[in-house]
Amino acid sequence: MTVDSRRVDAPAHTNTVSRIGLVDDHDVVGLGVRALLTDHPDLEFVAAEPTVADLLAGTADLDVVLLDLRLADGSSIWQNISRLRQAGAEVLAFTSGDDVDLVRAAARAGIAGMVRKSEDSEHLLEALRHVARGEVVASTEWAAAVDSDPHAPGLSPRERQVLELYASGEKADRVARLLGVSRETVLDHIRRIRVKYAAVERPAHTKVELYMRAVEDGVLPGPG
Amino acid sequence: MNGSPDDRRQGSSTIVATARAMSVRRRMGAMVSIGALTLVAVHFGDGLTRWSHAHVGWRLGVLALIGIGVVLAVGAFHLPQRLLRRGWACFPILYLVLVSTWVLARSSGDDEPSVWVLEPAAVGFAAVSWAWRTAVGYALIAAALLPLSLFLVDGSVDRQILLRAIIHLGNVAFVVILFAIDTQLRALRGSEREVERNAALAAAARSRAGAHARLTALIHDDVLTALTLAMRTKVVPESVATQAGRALAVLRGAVAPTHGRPGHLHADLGALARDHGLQFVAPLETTRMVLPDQAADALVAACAQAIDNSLRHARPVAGATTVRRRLRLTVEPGRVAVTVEDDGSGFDPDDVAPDRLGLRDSVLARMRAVPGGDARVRSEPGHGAVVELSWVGPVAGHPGPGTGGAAGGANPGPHAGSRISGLATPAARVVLVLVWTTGAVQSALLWHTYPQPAAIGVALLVSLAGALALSTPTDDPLPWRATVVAAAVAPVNALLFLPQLGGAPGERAWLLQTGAYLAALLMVRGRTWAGLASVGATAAAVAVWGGWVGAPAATVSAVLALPVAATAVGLAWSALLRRMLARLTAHRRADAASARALAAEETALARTAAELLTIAQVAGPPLRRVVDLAATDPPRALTAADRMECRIAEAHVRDRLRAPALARTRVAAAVDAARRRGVDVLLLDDRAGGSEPADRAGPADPDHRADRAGLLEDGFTLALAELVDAQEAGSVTVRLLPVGRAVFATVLRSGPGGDERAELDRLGREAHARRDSMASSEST
Repeated sequence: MTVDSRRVDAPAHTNTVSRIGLVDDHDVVGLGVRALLTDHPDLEFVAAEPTVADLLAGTADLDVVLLDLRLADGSSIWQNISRLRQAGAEVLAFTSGDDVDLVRAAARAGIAGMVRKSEDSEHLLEALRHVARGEVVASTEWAAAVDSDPHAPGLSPRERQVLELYASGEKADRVARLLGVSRETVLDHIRRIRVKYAAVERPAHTKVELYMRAVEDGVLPGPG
Repeated sequence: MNGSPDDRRQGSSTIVATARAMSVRRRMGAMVSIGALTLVAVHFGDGLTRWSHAHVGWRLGVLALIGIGVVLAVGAFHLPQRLLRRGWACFPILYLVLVSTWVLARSSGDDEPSVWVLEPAAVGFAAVSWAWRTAVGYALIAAALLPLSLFLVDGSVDRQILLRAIIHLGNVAFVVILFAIDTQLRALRGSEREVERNAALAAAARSRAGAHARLTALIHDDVLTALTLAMRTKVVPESVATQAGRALAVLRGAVAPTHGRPGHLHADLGALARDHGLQFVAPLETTRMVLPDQAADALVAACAQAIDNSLRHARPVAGATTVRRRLRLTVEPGRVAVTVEDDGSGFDPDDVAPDRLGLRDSVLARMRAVPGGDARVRSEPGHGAVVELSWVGPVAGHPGPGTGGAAGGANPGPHAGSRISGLATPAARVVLVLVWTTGAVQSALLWHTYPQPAAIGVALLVSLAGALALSTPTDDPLPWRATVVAAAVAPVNALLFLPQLGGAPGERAWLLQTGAYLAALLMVRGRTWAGLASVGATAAAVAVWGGWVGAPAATVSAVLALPVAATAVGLAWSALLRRMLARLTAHRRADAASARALAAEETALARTAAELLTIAQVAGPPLRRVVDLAATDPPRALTAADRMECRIAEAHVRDRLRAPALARTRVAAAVDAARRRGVDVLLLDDRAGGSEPADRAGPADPDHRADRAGLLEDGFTLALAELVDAQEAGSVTVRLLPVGRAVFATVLRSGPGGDERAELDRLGREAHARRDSMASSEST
């Protein structure tokens, strides 16, 4: 599994240094990421803090923030991601293998992608670069969580097909070939799915939705 | 409101309870007052105005009685309670005075005291004013007083008066019905308190489960992070060792420290029951059950305390010679419960003796000292006591994971049942039969006056059937079959009885009256429309009969008066009771919801506890190795095998989060082996789709979701294991799709040889396979 096979290209960006932040309540994770990025001058490690508030208090000038979805401070995923995005940063969820509800909450809040901490360092580097360029890192877990969400916004049949194939672990080229469309078309679909899922107002018409909103807002404890 | 400072210092709960008690009493008084007013209105034109020749003082007394009745009815909801109570007590006393003095005050033309028609109201007020024995005695004396006073003064009693006195004995029914309603309303108050307690318990359980779920999530995160860091390092940096140590510490803290011996709890409780002469009930599987010593010890100690309490305080209830006591041990997945039950005199759990800690508090404190422990005490005076001690956590030696427990259900506590009409009790049935007997005796005495006595016999039997049907011991509203029988009495009796009447019914109207009574009581039992239909049919029959025989309008209206009065009272009573019933129903629903929430949260707690135990078993050894190697001097490096163990453990913990059903099958072994070969395996189970609201399933409950989505077929796990086994390098992604998709599962295998995609059905049969060359799968 390589990240670049899943990236979704966006119009070319100027090649500058990307400022990276990290929110994780394990100090040692910050140490590891800082050490990793030292050898990569295009990725500047700015700060690692245990909460979003601490990170933003230090600096608001960030391009990409790696965000642990489970924080001990009880903050909500929705608020954390919203605040980071309002500050102009793209958010890459940095997870230790999370429950599907947490991944959905993050997707709904508009993350640019997901990387598991246990994946190879190369994955992380490439994902950071893609997100810094404004691309989407559509991982299998992200696609599976969105695809299995019974309350997902209306997707076109083609978008559903693309999502389901991504969720099974397929990559852009194969999805394109299986569906008989161009690779660019597949990437367009993914981009639209991300926007649809994130842009949707957060309605709460049913008890289930209310519960999900409550989890996202941190009113209720998140699923295990 | 001008309570004394002492009153104001009382807790709010006491004030609420008093307010409710007041409202019950006021409501009962209102029911009787409305009945009295109806009697006055119906009889104002006939019976009550036939007193014109009696002594003027006696006439004033009757006016005063009517005045009291009217004031009590009009002010039933507004007058101060104290004033109402005096009025209620005044009415029956004044009535008794008037009936007993009539003999002396009557004029020669009077054949009976006009005030006699108000006797049901007097008995009703007696019932709301005094204890039930006094009220029953009052009803009997009131019925016998007139014949008795006539006998004493005249030396003889008119036959008609005697016949009517027999019917008046039936007024005892009002006492019984009113007290039955009162009992129901009091039970309702009791159940309200229980509902509040359960809601509080459910809220507490929810917050505990919530906190536990959050803790579990953080432990997952700590453990996974530590394993992830360890599998990347050779020489363990201090920071990683610290993280591993921290993960180990939280796991140790979260998982119950010691595990006891199999059957330990069963043996100890059995000995306890033997020593104290209790019956011991426990299913067979509890003889092998293992739970932490700490939990078992707390259960045994609390149980001994509960038994001691029962032995010291429970006395036999009236009619019993001994108190039966039972000790019960039950186990369900993740939960052990011990109950101590007795059928003794019971007590009010809220009533704490000032010099000692209440039973509930002390037992509760003992159980709460153990994580997952809880206790509940249910009792009420005269109805025995139940102490339930429970512990939620990983229970070993219990067959199968199962899904029990979450279903919940209504709390079996002391609930009133919606028998609020008071007519579903054995006492009500006895009294209705008694009333019927008085009517039957009277009919027998008048037997010779009927042209066709057989028809009257049939009507009596129909009335008895109606009385029995009406007192069917089920919750209100009355079941339909019984409703039809009770509603049929009035029209059937009218059809059988009216052709027997030449002119005015006089004292023979009992058969018509009893039908009307039953129709009115039908309304009280929640069948308003059936009662109205019954009375309507009867009225129609009476009208047709009146036209047929050319009866005078006065006779027809006299015959109709009682059904109309009964209908008015029935409607008023049912309206008053319906509001209480609505409250009761709402409480029952809330209580059932609390019980379900409680059960669901307890199950969730048990599952998270079991989950933590598994994590400790999987992640503990490699984490311990990391800590140990870092602690050597100089620190030793992790071997490739050590790192592999960390990798395997990390992946396994992740699988348990994202595909718990798969992690429990033979697939797990194949996946484990593949990962050791270097294959990157990702397992995803999306069958159950969305999350559940917190009150329906535990929030931290992927296990539960997978269970609900159905177990995996052997054929499927076998096929999947083969596919994973065949993969030598690269990656495997397994996904079980949401229910309702065309495909059950997809397996994507990427390796040096290319990509291979398999789509499996529920039984593991390959629906579709596609193979691509390696080149074509190359990414950008």
